[in-house]
Amino acid sequence: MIDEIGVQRLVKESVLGDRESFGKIYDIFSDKIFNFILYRVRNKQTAEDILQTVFLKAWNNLPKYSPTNRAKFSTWLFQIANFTVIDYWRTKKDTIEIDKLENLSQFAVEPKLYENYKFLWGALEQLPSDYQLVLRLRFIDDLSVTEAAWAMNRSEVGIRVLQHRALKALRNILIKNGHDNL
Amino acid sequence: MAMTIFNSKKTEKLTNILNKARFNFSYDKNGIRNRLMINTEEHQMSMAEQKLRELAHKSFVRKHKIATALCLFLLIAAGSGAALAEADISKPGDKLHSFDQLGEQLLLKLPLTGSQKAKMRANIVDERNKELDYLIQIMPPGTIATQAVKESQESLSSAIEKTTFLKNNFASQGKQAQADKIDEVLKRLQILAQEQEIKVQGMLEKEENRELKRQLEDQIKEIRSAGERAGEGLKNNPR
Repeated sequence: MIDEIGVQRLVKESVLGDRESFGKIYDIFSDKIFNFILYRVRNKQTAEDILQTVFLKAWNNLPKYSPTNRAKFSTWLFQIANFTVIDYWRTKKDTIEIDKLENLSQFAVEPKLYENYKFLWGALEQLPSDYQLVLRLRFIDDLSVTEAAWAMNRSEVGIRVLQHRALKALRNILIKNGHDNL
Repeated sequence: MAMTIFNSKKTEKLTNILNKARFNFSYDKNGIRNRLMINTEEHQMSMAEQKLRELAHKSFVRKHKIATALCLFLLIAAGSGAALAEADISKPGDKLHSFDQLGEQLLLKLPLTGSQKAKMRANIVDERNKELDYLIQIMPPGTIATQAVKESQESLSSAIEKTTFLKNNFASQGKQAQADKIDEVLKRLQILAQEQEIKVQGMLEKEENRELKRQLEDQIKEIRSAGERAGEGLKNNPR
């Protein structure tokens, strides 16, 4: 398990042109970024294409990356991934359907465990995309408020407000769906 | 653990469930990695090629400036002014023309004697006159031509002013032989001034734009004035 210092060392080596170091960065973060993308686009092939695009954009823009105490390198990757997915949706007019969500379970590494949370996915799906995104980044991808603000290009106050509304909306849907023990 | 400022037990329970809902999905991780490595290599090569092109351009420009300066210097030192035209490989309007001018400026900074510099200035004026011939033959009248006339006139005026000053210096120091040699340069400059005036007059007759015509007329006055100063310099023989 590599810490942020180790990641920054790999980043520095990548900036100097060491593609193998960049390959290691991919190995470390690709799972998280892929999960994030797949959840947003709900199609495995598309998610894989976008994943490659995200890391290629990261490689091309590494010289512009500037480390900061407020956000990890992975946050920058999430930011690129978020904007790439937004660009993808700008060119697509697909709507999310329930059967596509069910198809997602076949890609889960632990499908049974995934199925246990089906009630949660169903509820999340009913939220506006911004609500889904903030809950995803904050609680599933474990970004701090500052990092989520960076990834979503919003203020920290904006993130806190959005998060509060998203949780409230999610709770209401879950209660409505019969999960009032939450 | 994610915390919110609007914390409550129910919210905490909900966020805990979200925390647990972290699942990995299977995908072609190695395949994407391989394609990524190929793409990054291609990108690296493309950036390297671009860098090489930039360096080659800078190197070409640098070599061209130095080559021009060296050619002109060698030709001047050898006393061969006529061959100067062969060393000049660009014309007004060419991208490299401004580098030729830079080359000329470089030459004038070389450690040469006053007499050698005077000859060099006359050669530069001669070169400018040839450029005017080119403009009259090849290019339509317009801003570039007018600009070239201005540059030619300025070279001429500067050459005559500095050469006259040099002659007066030599003469006041009692170096009559050197002063007489400078007279040769002044005579040449006087002739070049007359040639320049004729060429610009020809351009004026072709020019239709009123503003550019006015500018050319102003230049003719300057050229004529420079020629008259060269004549006065020739007459002036302080002993």
